Parts: sequence; C-alpha cells; structure tokens
Amino acid sequence: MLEVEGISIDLGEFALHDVTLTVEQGQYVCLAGPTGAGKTVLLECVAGLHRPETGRILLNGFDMTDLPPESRGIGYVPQDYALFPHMDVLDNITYGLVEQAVSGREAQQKAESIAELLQISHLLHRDVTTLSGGERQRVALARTLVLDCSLLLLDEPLSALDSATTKELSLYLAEIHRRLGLTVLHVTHDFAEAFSLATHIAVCHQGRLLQTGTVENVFTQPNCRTVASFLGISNVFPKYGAEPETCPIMHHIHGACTDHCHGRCVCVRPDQIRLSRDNASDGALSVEGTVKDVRWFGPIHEIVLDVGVPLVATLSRQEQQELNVQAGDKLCVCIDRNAFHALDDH
Amino acid sequence: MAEAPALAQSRSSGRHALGERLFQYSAAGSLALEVLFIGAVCVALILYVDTHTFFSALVAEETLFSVKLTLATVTISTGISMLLAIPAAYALSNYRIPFASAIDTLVDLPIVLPPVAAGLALLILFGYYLGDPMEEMGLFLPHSQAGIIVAQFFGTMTFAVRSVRAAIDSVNPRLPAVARTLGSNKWRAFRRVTLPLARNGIIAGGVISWARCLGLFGPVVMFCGATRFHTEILPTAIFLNNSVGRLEEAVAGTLLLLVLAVLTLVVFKRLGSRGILF
Repeated sequence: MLEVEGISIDLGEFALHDVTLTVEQGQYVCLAGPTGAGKTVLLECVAGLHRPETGRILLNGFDMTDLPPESRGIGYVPQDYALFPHMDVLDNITYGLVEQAVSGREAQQKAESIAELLQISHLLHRDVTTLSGGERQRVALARTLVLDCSLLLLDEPLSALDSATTKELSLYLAEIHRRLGLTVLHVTHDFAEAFSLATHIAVCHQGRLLQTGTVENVFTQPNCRTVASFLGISNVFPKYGAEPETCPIMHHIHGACTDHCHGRCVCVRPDQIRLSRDNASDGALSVEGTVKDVRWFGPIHEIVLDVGVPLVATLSRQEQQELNVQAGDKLCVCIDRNAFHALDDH
Repeated sequence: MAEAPALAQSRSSGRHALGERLFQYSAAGSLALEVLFIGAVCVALILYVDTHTFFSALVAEETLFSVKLTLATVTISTGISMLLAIPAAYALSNYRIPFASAIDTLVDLPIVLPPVAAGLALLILFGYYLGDPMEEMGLFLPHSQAGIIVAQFFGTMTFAVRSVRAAIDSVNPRLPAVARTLGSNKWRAFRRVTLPLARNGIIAGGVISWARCLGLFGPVVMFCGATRFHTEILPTAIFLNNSVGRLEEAVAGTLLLLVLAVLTLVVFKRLGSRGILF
C-alpha cells in the first residue's frame, strides 16, 4: 500500500501543495488532470527522483521519503519509456537484474519469461531504436516488471500512441494488472483513459488533489467545477444569485434541483438530459430549447442547445436516427431532479 | 498593353534568378577563397624545403627530442584534462552549483586569455607564490618539463570540459533517472548509461584537446622558457630555429606539426565516419 501524506514541493514550473493520497494493494489508480497539474512531479516524488519539502511517502508502512530511487523497489515507466538506446531489448530488460547481481543465465531466463508474458519474445535481440511506440511501451514495462516491484508507476504510457494502439495497449495494461495483481499509479490527462483502466481516480489540478474516489464516484459525483470541467461536463451552472444578470431559466434550473444543491453550483451530465419532439413534461425541469449545433463524435452525437443558457446533451446514434435533430429545431429538454449534482465553486 | 504584366513577371523572375545566382556564387566564392588560402600556406611550406633537408632535419637529434617531448607531454596533459573534465562536466551539467554563471565563465577563461598572459600568470603562481614550497617538495614547475604539462593542461582543459559537457548534456536526463529506479546508484547509472551514451563526444573532446595541445606555444614558452634539449617541444623548436636563422629546420618542424595535425583530423573524421564519433 502506498501512502502519500501531505507532501509539498516547489520545482519552479511545477509544484505540489499538501498532497495526500492512498493507493491500496492491488488497486489501479489513475492520477488524472490537465497538463501542468503536477501529476508527473507527484509520480517522480514517489519514485524518489525528487525529495518533497514537506510530508512523507510510505510504502507498506515503511517511510521511504529519504530513500534514494534504487532502494525503493518501485517500478517507474516514464512518458517517453526511456529505453537505453545503446542496449538491445534483452539488455534493457535485464538491466535491473544485473544491478541485483542476478547471474547471467537466470537473468536471461527471467527476461524470456516476462517477454513471453508481454508477447515480445520476438523482439529480444532487436535494437530498441527500431521499435514502434507500442513495442517500446511493452519493453519498458517488461524492464520494470521483471524486477517484481511492489508498485508500478506509469507516466502517461499511452499518450504518444495512435488511437488503435492506445486501445490495444489499454486493454493489455488492464490484463497485466489483473493477471499479476499489481498495484498501479498511472498518470494521465485523458479522463476516458482513466475511466477505462482505473479502479480509482485521483484528480489533480494546479498541484492539489481535488477529488479521489472510485471511478463511479468521481464520474457521477464530481465535487467541484474544475473536476466537472476535466470530466467534460459542460453543463455547469453558477450559484443561483451569484450572477444576477443570467436569464430566468436559472431560476427554473435551481428550482428543479434537490435540496442539497441549493446555494451551490450545479451540473448536469450531457447523457442525463433527455430530448424529445413532443412536450413530455415528465422531468423536474422541462423547457423548450433551440438546437444550435449538432456535432458527430462517432458513436454519439453532441447536441448544443439554447434554453436561455447554453446546454449540451448527447444522443446515441440510434436516438439521433429516431429524432433526426437538426440545427434550428425546437426540442423539449427534460432533466430529472436527481440528475442535478451540486459542486463546490472552484 | 497586354504584354506589360508578362514583361513585369519575366523581369521579376529574372531578378529572382540573378539574386539566387549571386547568393550561390558569393557562398561558393568565400569557401574557395578560404580553401585557396589554407592550401597556399601548406603548399608554400612544402615547396620551401627540399626532400633531403626535410628528412635530415627530421632525423636530427634535436628534432627527435622535441617530437618525443611533444608527444609525451601532449598525451599526458590531454589525459589529465580528460580525467578531470569528465567529473567537472558532469557537475556543471547535473548539479545546481552556487554562482554557476561565474564558475562557467571562469572555466571558459583559458580560451579567451591571451596565451602569453596565461603563461605569465602560471609563472607568477607557480614561481612567485608557490615556487619555494613546491621546490622544497622537489617539484619546481617553471622552466621544467613537468611545467610544460601544466601549461598545456591550462591551455586545453576548457576545450575538454566544454566538449565533455556537450556530450553529457546530449544524453536524455531521464535515462540515468530511470536507471536509478531500476537499481543503479548514481555512479552505476553514470557508468552504465550516461558514459556509454556520451562516449562519442568524450572521444571527440579528447582528440580535439590533443590537437590543441600539440600547437600550444605561448603559455609553454612563457612558463617553461625555450631551452634546447630541455623544454624544447615542437613549436618551441620552430621558434628557436627561426630565431637563429635556421629556416629549413624551422619549416621542417612546421611540416611535421602539419602532418600530425592532418593525421589527427583524419583520425577524427575516420572515427566519425565509422560511427565511433557522433
């Protein structure tokens, strides 16, 4: 189990402020957040590449804040994989085993075994500079996993890959996590990647952790505007009365909210907004909206509406085929009371 | 009237072609001028001495002494320069050093310091201030062969540090960092990752430093004097022969230095073409 207790560090361009995070044994935690949030700095602190100015880092109850990286037993795969270009794949994989004074024959056997697991046996004698992005990632993983680390740190491992390879490798990472029972802390700026892989998510912004929880918890109950924004929830409405110039629809929106929302910002996920052509007032909020734009994102359509304030809804391909929504259409917009979610205003 | 735009376009195109040709000719002309100048200097040297004088000067006892002394001192001073340059360059490249900018400037000083001034400064330090205590220890550097090594080291260490630093800077800092997470301590990460990756630049630095040492005259003559069969390295021998009117011997020595310089460059470029350098 990894425990990060109130660590702070200022590296000039990037900083962490009083970050506390726990990763339980076997969890796959995605540290998500926009670029420049300090995610990589946190990962590098855990790996031992930076010493935090305050706070502690414990692994399985042992304080390793002052330990150098080589004494931590933590696997680290950086964003560019950092394969050693003067060594072939086999030498890269056995690098750590050589440091552990494992005999040549045993090191080779272990390397072959991990290569087989990661399906890179055919690459063992290749020059690393000739590998594709996906192959490089697998080799970097093999180099780390061969050391039987208690914690695996992955820094944006899928960010430099094309979408097909990203999908293939995210399935592959999930499979490796499941088969080896690894504890993983994975940095990403892509919330879709985080949701597809993680058991838990920690959202980082400007050097602070804003929310941690299960994937379901963070997805359905973002705790503040920044997290909602990172999750791609564009329907965030300010505190009622905070912006008196806003149109009367805000009164209806806040009137439709559940009690715990009152006096706070509210958001509605686009997938929780129902659109219909007839005036079916079966939601807490039922208003007419004008379609401003229809955007196609493969399996879903994003419908941009004007209900007095901008509102974004999503329709599946089938729903769009049934409704055939076009820009300029007038639609009935229905939102259930429990679809409104209160947010802190930061 | 209809031909006017076509005419203007044709004129503009002509001006464009003329401009391109002028640029091409001026670049090629400058290069040709430089090649001719260097070539003329070399050819003048070669034409000046006849073969008989050249070979007899080459096998003369004095020439052989200066060649041996030159090769020995140059090799030792380059070796010392490189041995110190590798950790010094690593420190400059990796550590947050207080007054880093001032230290960086100081390291560059031997390059811009006039060679004669450098020699005089060494003489003041090792003669006036440290002369007596060092003499008591049996090591008096001014006007000695050991002093030649010190003067050459002073004149070449900046080249060594700069080239090694450039080589270390070219290594992705994430590589030794990852090596440490894989179990290497700082020294092992340097030895197994940084050093092999910086090897080409380090060898290049060594070759260039050696070549630079070979022709160093100012600091050596100021610090160690120009005593025949004692502190007479090749550049000193050329100076001495020229000053007493033995021009053939001076030119023979110069040609020898020229051959050594060309050989150094050939080795440097051969290593490069075989991928050992760069």
